[in-house]
Amino acid sequence: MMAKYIVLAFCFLFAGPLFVQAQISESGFSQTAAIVIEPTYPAPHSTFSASLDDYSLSGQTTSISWKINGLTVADNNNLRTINLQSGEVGKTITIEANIGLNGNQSIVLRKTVTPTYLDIVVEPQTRTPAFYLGRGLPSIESQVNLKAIISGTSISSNDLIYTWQVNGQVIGGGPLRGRSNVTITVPRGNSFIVSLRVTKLNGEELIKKTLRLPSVEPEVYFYEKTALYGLNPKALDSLYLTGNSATLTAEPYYLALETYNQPPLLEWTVDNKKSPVPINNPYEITLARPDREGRGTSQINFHIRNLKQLLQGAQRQVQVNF
Amino acid sequence: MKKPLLIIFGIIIIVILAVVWGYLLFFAKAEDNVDMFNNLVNGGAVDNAPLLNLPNEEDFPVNLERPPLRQLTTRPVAGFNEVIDDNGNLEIYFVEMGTGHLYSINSNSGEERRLSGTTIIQAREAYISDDGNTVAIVNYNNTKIKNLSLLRLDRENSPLIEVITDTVLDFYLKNNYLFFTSMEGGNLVAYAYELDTLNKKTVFTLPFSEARIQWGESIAGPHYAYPKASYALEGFLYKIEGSKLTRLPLEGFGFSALVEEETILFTKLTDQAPMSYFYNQKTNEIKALNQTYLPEKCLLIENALNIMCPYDPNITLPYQMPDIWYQGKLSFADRLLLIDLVTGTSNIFVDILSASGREIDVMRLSYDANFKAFFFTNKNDNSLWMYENNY
Repeated sequence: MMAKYIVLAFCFLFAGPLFVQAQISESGFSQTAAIVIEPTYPAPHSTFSASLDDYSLSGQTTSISWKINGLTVADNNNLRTINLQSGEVGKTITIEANIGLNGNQSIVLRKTVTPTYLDIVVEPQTRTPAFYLGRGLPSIESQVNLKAIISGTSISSNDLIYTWQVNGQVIGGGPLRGRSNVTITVPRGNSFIVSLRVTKLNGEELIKKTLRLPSVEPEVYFYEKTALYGLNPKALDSLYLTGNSATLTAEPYYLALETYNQPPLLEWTVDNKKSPVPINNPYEITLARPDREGRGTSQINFHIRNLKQLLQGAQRQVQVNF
Repeated sequence: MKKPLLIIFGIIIIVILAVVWGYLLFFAKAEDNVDMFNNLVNGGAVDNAPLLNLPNEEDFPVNLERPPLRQLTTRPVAGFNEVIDDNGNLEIYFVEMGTGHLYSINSNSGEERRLSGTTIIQAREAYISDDGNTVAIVNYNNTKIKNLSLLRLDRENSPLIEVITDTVLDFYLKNNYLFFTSMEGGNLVAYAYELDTLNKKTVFTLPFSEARIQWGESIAGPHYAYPKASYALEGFLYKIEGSKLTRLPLEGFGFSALVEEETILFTKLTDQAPMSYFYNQKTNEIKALNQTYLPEKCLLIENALNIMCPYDPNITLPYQMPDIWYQGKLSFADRLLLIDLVTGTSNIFVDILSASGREIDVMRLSYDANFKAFFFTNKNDNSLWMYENNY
């Protein structure tokens, strides 16, 4: 009797892994065989591919048939990868793959694709002149507003989870519900990487995007200004003083607003001699023709810098002919 | 030597000198006239220029024809519009930059009249209604805080100035509405100010503020918006109808666009260089064009299958476009091209450089209702120009 129990125990011991293996295989059909979309988030009106990932299936695949939105596409029969065209933004495409296995078995895989846009609008909080029609660019330690706009989903942005990262560091302490807008500080380096992952409340990933943003050095250009007509928007390489005087404006670009508004260092030099900084507008200097007869040239230099962050500054020279 | 001999020699010399002096006085002839001041070239030969064989003045033809391309103002212009007066004549109204004064120019006689002397200091941008009775003016002093004022010439107590807002970002005068945008709570809110009733309505709200708007014909739209262009930042085009924001499948770095009802001209960086395309909203087809245009400079020709664009064939646009053009570091000597919306082919409409001899960076292209006159300003000095289309 004792020997009978021992035999049963051995049988159970060796047969146990077989049962476990079967369970893994059963569940493996649904867990590992899948339709893979490339690119992962197709844009509207774009071409994308759907591929069959069935390598982990235990049985041999004998046939594949594809259905798009319930319609069989005969040309794609027995292809492992098919090319498709996405439609309007938000219009869902249902892809079905019917896989025939040996032994008259078959499984059906489904995947839905909804073309969605994730736009990240970058709004650097750096200085540009009032006449400038474009966007400023980020510069080191300046602030940048990032605004995510998702098109193609009916889910409100308040019901989505946003995970923002800058150079791999999650900002805001972790995923944040409804945080479609964030403000970041530009890190060191010539560029930095921003990534955003948007998930639904159930944890399912909706879309993600990564972009590289530049961090530029601030620049400064000179413009002539008249009392009546204001600034002439043509940047000056040199200035010809035709009258008795002229007003020159230095316009910094991409400077952090804090540095522009309260510059720790701002100086004008005329032929390497410091000139008093104008009180009303430190960015404007009025040049008068010298009393003496004759002609000549002068080098006018403008320099602005944040002394705590030396890369946050700009300098330029212009020649004035009189 | 003895003293008498010295006296004799002295007398002889004096007599000789007296004889010579007398001869010269009574018998000598002056030499030919030599102009000692006609040659400022030291030691060099002087070529005498041949005299011109000038015709009589009566032989000169009197040219009464005006050149088709001509400069209308030397003063900078903040805005302009073409207005048909009570006699059916075309008048060009313009607002002088800096003062905000309103003037009109008779297109036939060239006579200039001041219509409003109300000063709006540091006026920078303006729109004039089609009937010339309403003028919207924005003034600012090198800050992004811009005041939007309305000048009403049709009111009894004219001129009446109403300051609409002091935080305007963008504005446009069309039909009976003054459209403008203002930033509120991090969003861009667009309003329509009805000129008759003075009511203000919200048109749409955008979740970003650095936007460039192409306004529609009415409050309902469609309006179009995209983030202001930069070569280093991505832009996207949105269509706004009512309160609905629809993303169009157009995006790119350095992205800017001009929308016609069905066709959209857009430019973006492609392989490190700006490139222009047409996009058909109905067919979703995108067609690359042979030349690169800046959509901000172009003009839609209504009821025609063309877009007019300024173009400088001598400049290969660098990848930093349009930033360096906005900065005023790059300027163009433009020709005006007519581009076929269907085929994308282009023809020279006016060779401005040849016709004027001036390098003009064309902005704010516009045309009159009869397609007979085109107007534009020169970005370099904001002067106003006109081209009469005689065929």
